[in-house]
Amino acid sequence: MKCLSIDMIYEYLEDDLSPQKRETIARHLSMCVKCKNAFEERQRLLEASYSLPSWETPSEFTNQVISRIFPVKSSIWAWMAAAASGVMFFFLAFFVVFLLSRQNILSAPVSFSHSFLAYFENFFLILVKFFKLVSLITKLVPQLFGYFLKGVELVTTLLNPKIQIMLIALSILFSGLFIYVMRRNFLQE
Amino acid sequence: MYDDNELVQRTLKGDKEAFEMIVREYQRPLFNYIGRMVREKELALDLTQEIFIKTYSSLHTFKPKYRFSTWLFKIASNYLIDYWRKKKIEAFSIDHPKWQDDRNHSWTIPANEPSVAKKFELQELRKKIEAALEKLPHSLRELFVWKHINEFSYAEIAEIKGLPVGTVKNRVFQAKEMVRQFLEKQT
Repeated sequence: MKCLSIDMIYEYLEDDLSPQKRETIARHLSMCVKCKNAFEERQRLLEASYSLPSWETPSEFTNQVISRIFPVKSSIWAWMAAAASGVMFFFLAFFVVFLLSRQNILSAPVSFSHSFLAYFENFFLILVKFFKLVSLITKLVPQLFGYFLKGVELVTTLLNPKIQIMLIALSILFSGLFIYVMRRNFLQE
Repeated sequence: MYDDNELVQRTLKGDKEAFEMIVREYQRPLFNYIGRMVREKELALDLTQEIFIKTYSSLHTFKPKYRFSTWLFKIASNYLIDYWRKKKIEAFSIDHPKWQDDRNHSWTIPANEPSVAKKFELQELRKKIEAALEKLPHSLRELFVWKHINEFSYAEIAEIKGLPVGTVKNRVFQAKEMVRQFLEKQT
C-alpha cells in the first residue's frame, strides 16, 4: 500500500472508515515510519483539541435571559403596598422628628399647612399665567400665518409663473434629498 | 429529560419554564462557540443573550423535522455574520475563494515532516492551539470549534451550514492542518 494521505489519517483517527479500510491502514501504520509519525502527530493534536477548556457562563445567566424575554410585571397591589409603605414611613419620620425636637406636635401641621398653602397658591398663579400665554400665542399664530400668506401672494405677483413652478420643484427636491440623507445617517447609526 | 421539540412546543404554548430549560441546556455550548469566535468574554455573553432572544422570537418558524441544536447554531452563525458585517469585519464565507483551494490542496504527508504537537506537554499544546485558532479565518475557526469543542458530527455541521458533508469534512481537515502549520511556525 502506498503512503497515507493526511485526510485518510484524520478519517482513521475519527473512526470514519469501513472496518476493512481501517485494518489496511493499521497494517500500513505498523510498517511505515513516516505515516506513523504523521499519525501520532495528528492524534496528539486531536487529543488536545478535544480537551480544550470550556468557557463557562455566570450562574445568573439563565435568569438574565429569561427576565429579558419575560419581563416581570408589577401588580397594582404591589404598587399600592409600596405607596402605603412610603406614606407610613413619611408619617413615622414626621413623628420621630417632632418627638426628638420636643415641639408641640399639633403646632407643626398648622405651620406646615400655611407654607404648603402658600406654595400651592403660587403654583396656581403660575399656571394661570401659563394658560394666558398659550391663549396669546394661539391668537398670534393665525395673524402671523395671514401675514405669511400675504407675503406669498406678493411674491407670486412679482415672479414669473414658470419661475414659481421651478422654485416649488426645487424645494420639493431639496426636501426629499434632505429626508433621504437624514434617513441614511439615522440607519447607519 | 425532555425532548427539544417538546420543549419548543410547550414554549410556543406559553410555558416560560420550557424555554428556561432550553436556555439552561444550550447556554454552555452556545457560549463556548460564541466565545471562541469573538474572543472577548463580556461581548460573548451579550451576543449569546441576544441569540437566545432572537431564537425565542423565531421559535414559531422552527420545523420539528430538523434538529433544534443545528437550528439554534444556524441562528447563532448568521447572527455572528451580521454582527461582523455591521462592525465591517471581514468574516470569510465558507465559499470565499480567497482561501478555498480544494482543487489544489495537497493532502500528501510531506517528507521529513517535523513533529510539532508531540513536542509540547498537553496543557501547553492546548494553549498553543487556542492561540492558533485566533489566526484561523472565521469560517474555518467556526468549523473547528463546532467539531472539536461543540463535538458536532460532520452531518450536523453540514445541516447548520447547508453544505455537503464532504465539503465540511474537507474544511475541517484544512482547519486542523492550518492549526498544525501555525504551531510549526512557532517552534
